[in-house]
Parts: sequence; structure tokens; C-alpha cells
Amino acid sequence: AQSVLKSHDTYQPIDISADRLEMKQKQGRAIFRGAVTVTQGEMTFSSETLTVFYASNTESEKPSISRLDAEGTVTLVSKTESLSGDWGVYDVDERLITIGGNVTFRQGESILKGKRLEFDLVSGIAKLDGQSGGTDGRVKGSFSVPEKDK
Amino acid sequence: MASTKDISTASGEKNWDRFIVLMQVILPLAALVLGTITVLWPFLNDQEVSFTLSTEDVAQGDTAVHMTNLHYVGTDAINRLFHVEAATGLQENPSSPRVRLNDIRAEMALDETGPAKVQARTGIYRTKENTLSLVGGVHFNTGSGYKLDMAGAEIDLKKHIATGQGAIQGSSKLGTLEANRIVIYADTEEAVFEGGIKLHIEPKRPENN
Repeated sequence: AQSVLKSHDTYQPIDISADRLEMKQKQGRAIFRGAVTVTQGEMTFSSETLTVFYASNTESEKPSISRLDAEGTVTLVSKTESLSGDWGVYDVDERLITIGGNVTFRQGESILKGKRLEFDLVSGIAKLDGQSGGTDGRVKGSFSVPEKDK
Repeated sequence: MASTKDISTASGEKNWDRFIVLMQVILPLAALVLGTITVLWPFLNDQEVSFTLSTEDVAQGDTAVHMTNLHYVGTDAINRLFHVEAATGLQENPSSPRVRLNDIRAEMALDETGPAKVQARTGIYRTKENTLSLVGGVHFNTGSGYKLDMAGAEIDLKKHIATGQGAIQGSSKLGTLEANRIVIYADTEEAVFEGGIKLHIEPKRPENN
């Protein structure tokens, strides 16, 4: 199934809500804590804490956002899939989301579990690998074939 | 011989005579009295019109100091300037360390960034501790890019720390935001926001895409 996050524009506006925010202007870091929810276009991201790495530009009012690090029950949801794990990194320039820890990837009827997942926001394709260690390091998954419409 | 007519008028004339004699006495007397009254009137007037103040209802002497266009200037621990301006001020008494201010503008010079400025409608300036409690229409403009409105704030002009609360709204270098409480450490350009944080970021789009 085609992911709605295919060629997701990673520079469109980002809205973040949380209970607490610490802004460290000099280090260019903003740390959100408590029920953090991030929405950007079709994608909604949530976690317990989130650190936004940014650089403020003197000439244009707009900051350059380079990375978002999420920790603690991380989920990423879109219309076509939902992912969850223990930590997540959204690399804005690389247009890549990496989710780690016990990762679950649901798309349509299929569910995949593994240790680490890379979601490419250009192609909309998720690569899941089960690293060594843990149970047997293999990726477990169940696929369901959509019924033929009789 | 006197005719009868004469007799009747005789008694009339006697009455008239008496009237005339009487008038000769009364009229000059009346004139005299009236004259003296008109001459002495202004003096008589003073006595009757003057009144005396009773001491109870005289208001206590107002020792409060009312000021306009106030301007306090001071320096912090390492000689950085801060100043507080206000349209009007009121001090309970000249030695009181608290001044109630209206239409306040304060500014703190900072090292790396531009000065931190704050405005408010009313507030209290504590001259000893150099702190400001602000209420109403508080607007914050710090060198590190925060432009925030809030209901109330406490400013430590020496330590350059401000705590604010009440419908905080405004913008920062990262984007526009809302919060319930805030603490700004102007020197280290750090800020902690709490309660119902909402931040809207418009990322800069690199040229090539």
C-alpha cells in the first residue's frame, strides 16, 4: 500500500504541544517534556520527551531545524501506518525517521516487530531490521493478503 | 366766634399736631440708626459671617510622595546598567523602600545580546532589592529574541531573572508560543515554560529544495 508519507515535506510548519519546555537559545536546543505531541503535515509524532535541535538565523526570522530526538513511548502515526518504539530520531535534512527499541510497525493488516526501523520520507518505505541480541534478532512479522473481491 | 365746622376740624388739627411732633423725633432717629448701620456694615459683616473650623474633620497631613516622570538607574553586580522609568509614582512616605508605579518601562543591559526590555501598566518597585512586581499588560522584549505578553511578572533587575504568568503569548527565535508560566534567565538566554505549551515552528527551507 502506498504510504501517505511518501515525499513528505520535512520543511513544512511543525506544531508541538507539551507540559514543559526548556529553551536553551545558546546551544540551539529546545527540550519538551510531558505528553509531547508533534504534528507536521500528515504525520503525528508523540513521546514523553523531545529535543529539537535548531539554529536561529539572524537575517530571516525562520530557524533552521536540523533534528528532533524523541524518547519514551515514541509513536509515529499517519493515515496509512503507525509505528512505535522506545526512542526516535527525525533527521529533517536527510528526510529520515529512525525508531528504535522494541519497534512495532503496522501498515494496513500487516504487523512487523523488530529492534530498529528506518522510515524513508522520500520513498515512503520502512526498513526494519532485527539486530543481534534480544530474542533471536530475527524480524518477526505477519502479513495478510487482502481478500480477493469476489 | 368759631363755626361748628371749625370745632370738628380743631380736634383733627390737634391729632395732626401730635403726629408732627412725634415724627419730628422718630424720623431723625431712624435716619441716624440707618446711617450708622450702613457705615459700619462691613465691620459688622465680618463678625457675623466668620466661622470656626472644628479640629476633628481636618484630614491627616498627607505624607505620601507623589512623583511624575520617575527614572531610577542602577547597576548590577558587575556594573551593567539597568533603569526603570514610570509616568507616575507614589511612595507612602519618603523613606519607604516601595514605590507604586504606573505606565512602567524597565531595561536591563546584557552582555552578549541586546538589552532586555519590559513594559507594564502598573507595578511596585522595591528600591532596596531592586525588584519589580508588574501587573497588567506586561510586555517582554529580550535581546535573545523573546517578545512575550503576559498578565503579570516579577523581575529581578540585578540577577536579570524574570518570572511571568497568566496567558503568556508571543514569539521566540524558534517560533510563536503559548504557556501558563515562564522563567527567563536573560544572561544565559535560557527560558523555562510550563503549563499548556504550544509552539508553532516555521522551519527555514534550504535553497536547493
